[in-house]
Amino acid sequence: MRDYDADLRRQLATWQVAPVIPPRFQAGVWQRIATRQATREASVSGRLSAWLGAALIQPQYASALAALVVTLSVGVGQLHAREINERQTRSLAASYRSSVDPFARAATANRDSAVSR
Amino acid sequence: MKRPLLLLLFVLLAGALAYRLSFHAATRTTKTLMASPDAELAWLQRDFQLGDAEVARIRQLREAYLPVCAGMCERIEASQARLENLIGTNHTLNPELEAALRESSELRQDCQRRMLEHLYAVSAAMEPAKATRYLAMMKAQVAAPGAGQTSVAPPSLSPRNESSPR
Repeated sequence: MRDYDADLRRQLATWQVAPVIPPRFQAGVWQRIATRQATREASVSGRLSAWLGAALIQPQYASALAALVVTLSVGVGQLHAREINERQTRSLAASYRSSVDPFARAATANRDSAVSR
Repeated sequence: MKRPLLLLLFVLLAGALAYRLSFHAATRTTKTLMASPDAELAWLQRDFQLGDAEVARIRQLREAYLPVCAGMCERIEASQARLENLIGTNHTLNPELEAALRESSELRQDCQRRMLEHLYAVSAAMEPAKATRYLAMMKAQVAAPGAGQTSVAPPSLSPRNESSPR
């Protein structure tokens, strides 16, 4: 057993490795990584698209989606309208206050004449 | 593959239509208010929940006051122009400039007094609780006339163009 180990040690001591890296090795690795990633992504979007297509042709999914989208749209419309109404109300309140204030009216007239000049 | 796409398109169109209808329904009152000939008074009526009799009395007061207010506005403009001119042409505080300053101060006091008279008259046409709220809203305007005066161009009521004018 020992002689065998000694032979092996001798053989290993004489063993020399001279690795040769193929040209554009690193670029090739990155290219393979990119290709695999693209394939995986394509398959995810493809699967999603296929699932959506299959789901949409089923009436219960289609009507649920329509109800969800319509409800959300109504909600967004109401929120937007509320914001506009509040802004409008503030604007009218300011307009009322200015309408009874001769100094505010004079300031507006001065500003308007400065703008027109 | 065509049918799901068409369905999706239909759902999106339905969503857009729902948004538009919802927005228009919710802003219809404000639109009507803005389109009214005296939008400020219409706003006052809505905001203070005034009855027809109260509005009629306030309208009467307002119609009597607005020409007075316009007259004061002209006097203020003339006084300010004169004061600015005198400040620009003089390098010392001479009697003429002192007189212009005094006149400007008296004019300010006169305008504040008339404005306050009008506000008290308007508040007297309202129920007590509304009158208190009205005077609370207006007191800053009397205390510092012209202060906080902003452009009052209304924001767009179109859902497409919501850019703020401020």
